[in-house]
Amino acid sequence: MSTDTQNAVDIDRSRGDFHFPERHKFDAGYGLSEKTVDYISDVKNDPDWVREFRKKALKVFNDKPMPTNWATKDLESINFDEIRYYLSDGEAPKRSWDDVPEDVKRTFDRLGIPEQERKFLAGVEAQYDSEAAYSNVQKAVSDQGVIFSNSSDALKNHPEIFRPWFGKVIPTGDNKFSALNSAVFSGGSFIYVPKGVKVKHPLQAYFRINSERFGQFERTLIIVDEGAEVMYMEGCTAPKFETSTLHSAVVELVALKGAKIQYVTVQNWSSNVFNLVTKRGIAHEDAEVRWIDCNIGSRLTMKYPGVIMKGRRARGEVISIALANTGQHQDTGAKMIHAADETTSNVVSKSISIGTGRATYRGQVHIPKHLKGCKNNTECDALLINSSSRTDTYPAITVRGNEHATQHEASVSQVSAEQIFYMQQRGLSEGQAMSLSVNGFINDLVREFPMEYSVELKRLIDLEMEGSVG
Amino acid sequence: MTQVLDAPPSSPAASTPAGTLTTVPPQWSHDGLPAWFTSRQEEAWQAFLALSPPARNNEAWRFADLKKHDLAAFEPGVDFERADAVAAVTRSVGIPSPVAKIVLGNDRVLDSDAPTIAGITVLPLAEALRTHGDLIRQHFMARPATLGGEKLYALHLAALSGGVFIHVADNAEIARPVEIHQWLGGLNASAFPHTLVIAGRNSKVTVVDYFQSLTSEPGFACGVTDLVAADGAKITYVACQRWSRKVHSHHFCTTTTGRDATVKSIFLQLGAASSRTESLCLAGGAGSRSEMFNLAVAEGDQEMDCRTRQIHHQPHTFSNLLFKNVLFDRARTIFSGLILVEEGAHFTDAYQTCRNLVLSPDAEANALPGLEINADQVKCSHGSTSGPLSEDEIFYLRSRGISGDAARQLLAFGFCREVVEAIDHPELEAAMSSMVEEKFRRMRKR
Repeated sequence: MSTDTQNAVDIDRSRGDFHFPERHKFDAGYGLSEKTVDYISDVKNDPDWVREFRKKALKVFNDKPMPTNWATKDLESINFDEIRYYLSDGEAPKRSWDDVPEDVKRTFDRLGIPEQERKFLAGVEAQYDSEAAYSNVQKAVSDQGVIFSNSSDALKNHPEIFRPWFGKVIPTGDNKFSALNSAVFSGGSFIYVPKGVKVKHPLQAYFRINSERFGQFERTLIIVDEGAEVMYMEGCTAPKFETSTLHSAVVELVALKGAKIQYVTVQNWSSNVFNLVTKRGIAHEDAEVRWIDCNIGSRLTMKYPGVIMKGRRARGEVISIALANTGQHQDTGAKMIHAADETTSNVVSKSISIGTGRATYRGQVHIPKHLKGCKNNTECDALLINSSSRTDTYPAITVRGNEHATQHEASVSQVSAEQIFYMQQRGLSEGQAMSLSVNGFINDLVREFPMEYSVELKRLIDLEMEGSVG
Repeated sequence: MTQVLDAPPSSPAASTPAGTLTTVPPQWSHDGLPAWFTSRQEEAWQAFLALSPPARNNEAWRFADLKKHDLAAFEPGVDFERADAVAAVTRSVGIPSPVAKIVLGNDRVLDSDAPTIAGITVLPLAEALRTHGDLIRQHFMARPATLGGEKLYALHLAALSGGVFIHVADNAEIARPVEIHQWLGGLNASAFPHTLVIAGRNSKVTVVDYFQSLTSEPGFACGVTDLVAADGAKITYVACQRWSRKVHSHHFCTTTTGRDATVKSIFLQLGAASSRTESLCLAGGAGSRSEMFNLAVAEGDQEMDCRTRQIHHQPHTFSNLLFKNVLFDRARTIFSGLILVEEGAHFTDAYQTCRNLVLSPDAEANALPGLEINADQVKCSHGSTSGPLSEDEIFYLRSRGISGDAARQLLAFGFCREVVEAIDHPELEAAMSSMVEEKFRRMRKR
């Protein structure tokens, strides 16, 4: 039974599984040393303070041990000496789709990017290995004062906006991988939304790894000024190479008073990518930060989006869907740090484990002393499809004081044989019945994604299956 | 009644100087003890010396105040003076007419009432090792400690000199509980209480352990309870921890269940400066049920730390856990639990609930409820809540003429009742209930 169903509940991976020959002008070579960092700084023409920042980070990275005291031992299979840390063709991002090099264009064409941009996006940035290949913002949006550019340009052109928050939400020493990112970061989006501007359509970034034995280290910083709103979406793919690839991003969000940020991720890396990402937002007074996160790909994902609720009545939310197939470990979760009165947070996480896949929820809820009226609600549900599927839940909840309420609930279940039998008896095939059950399990979360994505998600979780009742 | 109070107490001059518990190897008595036992003790001492103390980055000690686990000040416990022994025995009051009763002071037997009926054996461990050596060998500390206290577990084994052995014959149903009173006395003294309960097939027994201090001096206790239920057996174990507020306590409880066996453990944590309990339940045979309950009422600077693991390694097993904490003042509680459903343990039902009632702005409740599921057709859930009393409930009681303070006491006490009621033995429930009430009363007086 289990061998039949290993492939039964699967997603369409074929779409991202292709690659073009490399034609890099700049290649930092294999391994990581101070030289690598200098090389990146030289190529990117970094200001001195950025170069210093990188070097300090490199030291922190080297000093910090792997967090295997709590995380999976699989981390030890990453060989940092066999990874290339910077690859680019040395060209500036193109504003027009026609100027994008042919193979890159074909890459994103095949992934449907220009099509989506025309349809519903306010701005797009497409990153190919280390640098952005294409970047465009609708004129109406840039006229409102919205800045949407890659990290290097933003730090050079708008230091007064970005430097004060750069590395402040996630300090270099937060963890080993945030330090690694800080040392070699390249690409990623920097967004500033001015006071009161509500960006109607989502901004989108697309991340693509095209080269083997390469690490992508993009860095994203989104600052939304008082009363402004933005929705940002990112998608990730990579072809399946023989050797494993590393993706280690740092994403910082700053929601000033009354601002609202929604950050949507659909992660569909190929199943040999180590995806070790640090994501955190700060929500000031009355602000809201929402992480809407879907992890389908990668070999190992470790990602715990967090919200620091710094101002009164701030709100944090994490909505998370994870699908772990054979050979995959989705280690996802949420961090909710309450740092002001009357802050509320909500975490809803659903995971599906298929074949020998392993889904892990790791959460932290922290309510320190002398605060009043903080609330947290956490729900984690896991669905096991096969008898060899695995799921774990490790939340950590600290509450100080008697004026707060937290609740955490987790459950593990199966698609029951009775359920399937009932639907079959109504004329559905076994595969359809399974599909319906699984879709029903995540349905309320899929609705949280923008419409175009939720349709896509339902299609991704393509449940053509026979004999799959676990 | 066997009075052993006449045994000559060792002279205080012979006692070892302060702080020697962890530096001077214990003096093992080879007197008639099986060789396997003494060699395990010697190995354990070596293991204790070799193991490193808990470090800050050790997940098994997350949130714990490591300063509270420094053993440098303690020394081995010495025999009670005669007057103290008499006081301990006099104060060892449980419920009327237990089937057997044994009183220990710093691990020495002070008084013992042999069982009055057939089918049950209650003996000091040292004596039982001579008479039931082979049976004990099978079950004695058969599982290594895995929840962080490995070093202390080794120390327990190395320093063990007291302990109680309870064996129930196949098919014997013992209606009245067995009572054990463990006393700790003397400045910086330490005790290593050990209770081994082996219940034969289809037998039934209830055991109550009382842990108390003779004085309010600082001390250290490191105990082990092993509950082994053969097929169809039923064990109810109640532990009432009332060490003095300067005692640092560490306790290990392991339960093993055979086919269709039921083991229920209920811990009341009322005393100690810091109390850490590592409970492991191994749901073995099909149809077995393991239930773990814990109630901690923490005030002042008390730290109550509970680490649990429910391991299911066979199909068709059930386990349930309910841990409740009531927090006053600057108290801290930690609950870290894991349900582990191993490969092949299909049709497991496992539940875990932690509830924290936080009654002070300075109290801190930590919860780490965990699940690891590697099997199919499993029903598992865990829940954890932290919060204050409901204002609506207080309002309701006040509207009936009950003062706000009394209403809070009443509601907090009601919160505790759920654990006490799990004992399912009216007399014991009443006894435990009164202990909890006494603690509440003492706090009210402050």
